[in-house]
Amino acid sequence: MATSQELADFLTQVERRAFKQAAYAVRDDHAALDVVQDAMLKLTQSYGARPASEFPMLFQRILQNTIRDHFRRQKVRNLWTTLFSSFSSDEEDDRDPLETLSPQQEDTAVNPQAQLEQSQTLAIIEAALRDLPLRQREAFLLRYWEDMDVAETAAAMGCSQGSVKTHCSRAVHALAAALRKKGVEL
Amino acid sequence: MRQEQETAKIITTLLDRGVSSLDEETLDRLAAARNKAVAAMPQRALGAEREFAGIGKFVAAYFHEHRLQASMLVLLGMLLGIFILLQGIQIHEPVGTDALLLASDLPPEAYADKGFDTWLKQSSRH
Repeated sequence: MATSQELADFLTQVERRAFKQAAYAVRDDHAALDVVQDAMLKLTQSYGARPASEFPMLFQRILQNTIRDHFRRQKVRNLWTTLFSSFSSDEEDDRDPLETLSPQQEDTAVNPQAQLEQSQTLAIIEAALRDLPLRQREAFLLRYWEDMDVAETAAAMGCSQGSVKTHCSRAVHALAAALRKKGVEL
Repeated sequence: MRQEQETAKIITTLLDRGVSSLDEETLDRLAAARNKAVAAMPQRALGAEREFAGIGKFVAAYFHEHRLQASMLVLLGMLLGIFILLQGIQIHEPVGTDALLLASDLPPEAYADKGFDTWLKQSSRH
């Protein structure tokens, strides 16, 4: 059984990467922090009595499910917004949908460190990661960033090992292509 | 495949550098979330933690850690017990049957003869 210290140590170890994972998926830092907090609470409340060795797998699974829950809630919210907006004026229809994405993409540009080559490369990678399909991004981050093996990744994603390999391969090729397109050679 | 892994390694190394440069506000919020989560650890788990803090901590922790194996061992023991019990019943059963056959008025062949049972029913009606 894990002690509270072991739990705290584990969360300290994974919280930053978990935040980034959530941020790539939901594209909003505040929402990503909420997702991570929910995942942490679910882990401790439901699985706090489990041995510490089980935490990495459990936490990753909870985190992925919490991200999916966020999208489900967002979908319902968007449905209601669409319903109500149909009663409002048409002024907003002229707005370019890409405008809503621009502040997010400019975050790295306003950062002074964005002048550095490495930071630019990182920004390109992060943008490419955000653009990946959900399952490909999940597979890539779990398999390579969280350093899970194929079986563990498959268990965390709830799919077959073959699917994990396919998603990972496609993700790496897509990221490499995105970097090449921007003139970055790995 | 190897090329893929190398590319992935370079990308994740860069991602790690990005993680280490998170802003203070985000780090504070993550720390607050962590503390809240640790505080929400079930009392049952915390109680057990204190309970295990005594002399039996190691033994209790060992059995808890290997609870799956311990459960399997108990199950195996139960199955073995049931098997032995059934074996005992099967050993004693033929003895009882043999005694019944020997004590009966009818010869043992009569029980093996299927026609006898039919004849007995028919004759009992008359």
